[in-house]
Amino acid sequence: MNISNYPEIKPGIKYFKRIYIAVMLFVVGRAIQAAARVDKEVKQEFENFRDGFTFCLGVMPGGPYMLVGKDEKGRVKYLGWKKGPHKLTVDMKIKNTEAAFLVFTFQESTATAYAHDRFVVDGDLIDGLAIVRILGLVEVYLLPKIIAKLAVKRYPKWSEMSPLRKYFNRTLIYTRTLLGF
Amino acid sequence: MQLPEYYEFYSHPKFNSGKRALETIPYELSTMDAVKPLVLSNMRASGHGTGKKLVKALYDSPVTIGAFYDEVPGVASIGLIRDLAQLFRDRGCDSLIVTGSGPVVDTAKGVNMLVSIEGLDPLAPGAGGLIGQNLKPLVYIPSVNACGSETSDSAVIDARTITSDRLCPDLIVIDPRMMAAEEPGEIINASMMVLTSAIEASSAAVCTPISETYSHAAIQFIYENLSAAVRKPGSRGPSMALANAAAMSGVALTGFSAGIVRSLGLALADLTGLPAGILMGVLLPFALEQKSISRKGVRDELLLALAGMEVYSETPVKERAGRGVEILREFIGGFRYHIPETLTEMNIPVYRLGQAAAAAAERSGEFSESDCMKLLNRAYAASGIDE
Repeated sequence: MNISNYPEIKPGIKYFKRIYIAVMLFVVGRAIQAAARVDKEVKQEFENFRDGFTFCLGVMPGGPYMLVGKDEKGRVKYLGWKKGPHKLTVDMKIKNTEAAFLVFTFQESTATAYAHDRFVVDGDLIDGLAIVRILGLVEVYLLPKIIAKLAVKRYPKWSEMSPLRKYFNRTLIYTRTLLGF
Repeated sequence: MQLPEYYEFYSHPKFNSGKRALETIPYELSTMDAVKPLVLSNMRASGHGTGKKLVKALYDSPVTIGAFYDEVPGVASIGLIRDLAQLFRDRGCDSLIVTGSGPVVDTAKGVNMLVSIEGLDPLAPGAGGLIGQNLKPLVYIPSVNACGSETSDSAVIDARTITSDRLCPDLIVIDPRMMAAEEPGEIINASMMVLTSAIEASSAAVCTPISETYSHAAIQFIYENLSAAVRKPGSRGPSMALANAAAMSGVALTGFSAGIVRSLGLALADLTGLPAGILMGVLLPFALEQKSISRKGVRDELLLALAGMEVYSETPVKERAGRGVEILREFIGGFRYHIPETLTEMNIPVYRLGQAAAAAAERSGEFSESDCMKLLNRAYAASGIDE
């Protein structure tokens, strides 16, 4: 057997998908920061977390990541896309780029992806589930109903989220996400 | 479902099945401390372009493919296994990924034995018993024509069967992208082997509840999806179901020696060159009827697996086994263009029957040569010569 006929194959990189996921994580990270100031349900979820709480959502093995934390004053902040020196309370990782692409192109909802074992969660599971609820609410605000229905487990009814609240908060969240405050 | 007084079952492989399942391989390998697999495939699989899909699925991961050998022939031979083991060591590989069906998986199991245990001769008598430690991680990716033995605890190398719990794959990855369209005859041949394995595993005297669960799922998948897979080869849903059935039937077979139909099918195939699965498809209804007549073997649960809970509960207890065999016969009869009704229609010389019976009885100690002859004679003329 001539082994030179069977060379080593180094893994390639999926540039387009990684860039797309990085952009989505950036937008969602900033939107979570905005939603925590605008929407009372998201605010309530964050109030249940202790001060100094930091969570990371990213893609294995090498990112991209999104970090969101709560400072000692209780303010929720988007902390960027690098893990850096932050001590993570909850580290949520999607097992591979393709799985992350399915989630961020809304081909698979976050809850379904969880059920399909596409996530690895390092931290308290109760906190992890609260983050999934926050992500669901943020997706409802960011996306038009036709797409958001694919991304969330159950789209909120009128009684749960009135159109006035939805459209008013959506405008505020978009503005704050774009301006970054 | 019956609970034996005592049983052991090695429940090992993890199943990852569905959309984008291939991309889970790097993560799963990392949990087994592996990053550099040797990939084995046969020319048939690589001809369908599945190799490229596999390589692409490993992008964006730390996994480097040590070598991609896609020329494994139709027989697992010790010469090739030794060469591949050398390639594995030269490239510093730490795991194996194998795609396809049949001999390519046996080859991978042989390589795994050589690279994991220093000085082991896989062909030495009782070699399976010498495998006392876990082997290197083995990932198996089935194709639609997988015949079930791939996920079992045995490997056939140079016509010798080696059996050990450690030979089971660690991970089975079933992805729709790897389900290339095959000829209908190929699909039926593989499915009949799977169906035979599953029915024989669930009818065995020492059948365990776990094995029964796997077998019944495999029987149901074949029954519900084979027609669709044959009508439209390459269709994702049915192909995935058949690949799942093959993987499950192999797990169900773990710990069992081959039954009478499987042994005879393989022996006749060796002697005549005819497809083993088709031969099993001819023999299976006769074998079940024979057991049914003698009131042993066929279990009521065959009907449950084939027809579902509604038909099972509607059928009187005494009629369940017979109804199960009837449905199976009708099902196999639906593929009459590929599966003849009797062995006579396959133009097998009569003198080959005796040879096949002797070979099958030698292969498994659970039945005698005369049992085999009785079944072959029934299937040859379908009139019960020997009765």
